[in-house]
Amino acid sequence: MVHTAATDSHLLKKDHLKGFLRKLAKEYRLVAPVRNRHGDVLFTVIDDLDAAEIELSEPPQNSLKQFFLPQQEQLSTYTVTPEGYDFHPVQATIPPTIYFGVHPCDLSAVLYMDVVFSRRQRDPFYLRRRHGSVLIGVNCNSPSPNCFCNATGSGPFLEMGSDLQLTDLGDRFLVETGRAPGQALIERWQGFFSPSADKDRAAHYQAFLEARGRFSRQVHVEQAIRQLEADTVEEKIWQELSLRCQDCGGCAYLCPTCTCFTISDQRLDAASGRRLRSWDACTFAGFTAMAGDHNPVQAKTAAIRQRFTHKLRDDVRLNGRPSCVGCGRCVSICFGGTDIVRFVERVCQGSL
Amino acid sequence: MSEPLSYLGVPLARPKVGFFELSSCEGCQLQLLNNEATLLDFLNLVEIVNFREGMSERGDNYDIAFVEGSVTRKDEIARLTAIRKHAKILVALGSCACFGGVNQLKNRFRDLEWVKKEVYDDFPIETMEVHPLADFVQVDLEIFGCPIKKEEVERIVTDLVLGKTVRHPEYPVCMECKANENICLFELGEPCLGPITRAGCDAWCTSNRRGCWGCRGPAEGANLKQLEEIMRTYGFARETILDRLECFGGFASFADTLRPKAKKSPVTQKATAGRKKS
Repeated sequence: MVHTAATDSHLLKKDHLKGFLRKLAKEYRLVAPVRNRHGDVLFTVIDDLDAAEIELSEPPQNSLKQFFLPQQEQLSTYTVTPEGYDFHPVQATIPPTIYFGVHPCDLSAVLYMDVVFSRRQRDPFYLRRRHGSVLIGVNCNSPSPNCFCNATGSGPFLEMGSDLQLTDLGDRFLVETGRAPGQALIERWQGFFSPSADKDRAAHYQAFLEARGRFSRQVHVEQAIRQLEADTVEEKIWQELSLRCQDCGGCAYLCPTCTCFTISDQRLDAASGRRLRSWDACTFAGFTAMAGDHNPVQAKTAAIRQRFTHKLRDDVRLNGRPSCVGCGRCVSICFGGTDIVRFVERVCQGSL
Repeated sequence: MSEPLSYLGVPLARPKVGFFELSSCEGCQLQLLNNEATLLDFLNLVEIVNFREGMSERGDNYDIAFVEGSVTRKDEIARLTAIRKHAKILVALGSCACFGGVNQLKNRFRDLEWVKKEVYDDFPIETMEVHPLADFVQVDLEIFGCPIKKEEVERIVTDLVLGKTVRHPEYPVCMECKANENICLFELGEPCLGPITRAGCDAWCTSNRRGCWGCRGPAEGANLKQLEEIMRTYGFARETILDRLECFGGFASFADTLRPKAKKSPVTQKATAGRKKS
């Protein structure tokens, strides 16, 4: 599929990358994976392009989720009057932002969030951050040990969804144009780009084939989805996994497609307060608690079942594909071993 | 102090509160005085009639009594009972009051007479085994932590004054630690009780790369059994886990089940080491 890409493609010499980004940073807020002083690679807002060490070969530890759906966000403030509550919406201006160096898994995750936050109800808080954002993706030449995006159909190479899509070809990037804002960037700064030749497109296809062969694990997500659909996952697998879960929520926090949130009111004093939206996780004991303390989901097994069934079965039914994008972040954060790869592997073992 | 408070048009009574301490470092009360930025707002909510660390006046006409510290002497039982009689609501303030706290480490030694000799030597003081408040009187509300988190107390007191249900977080410290974007301390080789300890501290210690010692006691759904397994797979000895579980006393019943399985009980280990020295 990749080699038949009919999209417009260009070349960007690696030497010209900094210059191109410098131009972009003048007009946009720039977010890219940056290696910090501890050696961790994180998507960071870049203030000083010369001081930032942009790292494209290693997947960032965080995803783009926090930029579109912050961990905690103030929705409104309120004052308490003798008649009741007066709400005052918070006005925020989100600067137009370029997200550079987005790996295919994270790109797929943003596309999934777009669906979630505009399907039934358009979420103004998400969309005001998403509007005016430009995504510049970079294909994965060498997947990391925990990666399995090949099994979820979200990598290692993508050819749609981004505004510009880069592929590392050694001394140069092949740049494919996607959505219109990407095309506009190329036209605006055409001095940085040169036309691509057939040999570049051949190198791109070669890189794709090599990347596909570099996955260190084969995770049979398809098989797990089939079993969930047929309802043949054994009860003992749910029990085994839920026993190991410590309710830390790490998987949901790091997951680029976990979008559950809770809304709470925080009093500032007796007469005023603020309404906050914070990340939540379906594995938390209080997640399904209702007014009056009734909780329809009591057993921990039900919470774990909810998590994996939603990711793998329900989203396939709704959107035609799982909402797990195979980034492997939950695999590295879960010290108890209750991650999605462990689940898929246990399900497959059960059917052997 | 200022104009009368009201909430949704309903006038609020400023409850009279008293702060008391049994055996403790009084650090929890100090926490309350420490946060100058919000101290005045806090004082506006309540009328303090007894606070040794903060004022000279003494009064016994309080509605809410905050009691810090654990019971280690007979006369403290009498004091505590008297406070209970005066107060409409008795709040156990801090881990000592809730579980015995650091004080209850003493209970690990089988020979309390030896402990007294070691600590007080020629100036013996009448002490007994360490108990939390709830062993003697009814406790209406517990505020966990060693020390308590000032912001949390303010939230709880505000809820009390407004007549709202007081809720503690049900999730573990682990969750707050992840929210602070920390690397798991297990990965750094540091033992940690974060996965089983009640949150609310905003992962104070673990955000500073110090493993959790469980000062706030077990979280609602604490998966103790499994943590033992997990910590063993990360190469931590049972004794290491036990040391942490026993530190503040919040995990007493679980520590009891783990102790017989430890290779050499830390109790006998420490007691003998001490004896050889003296």
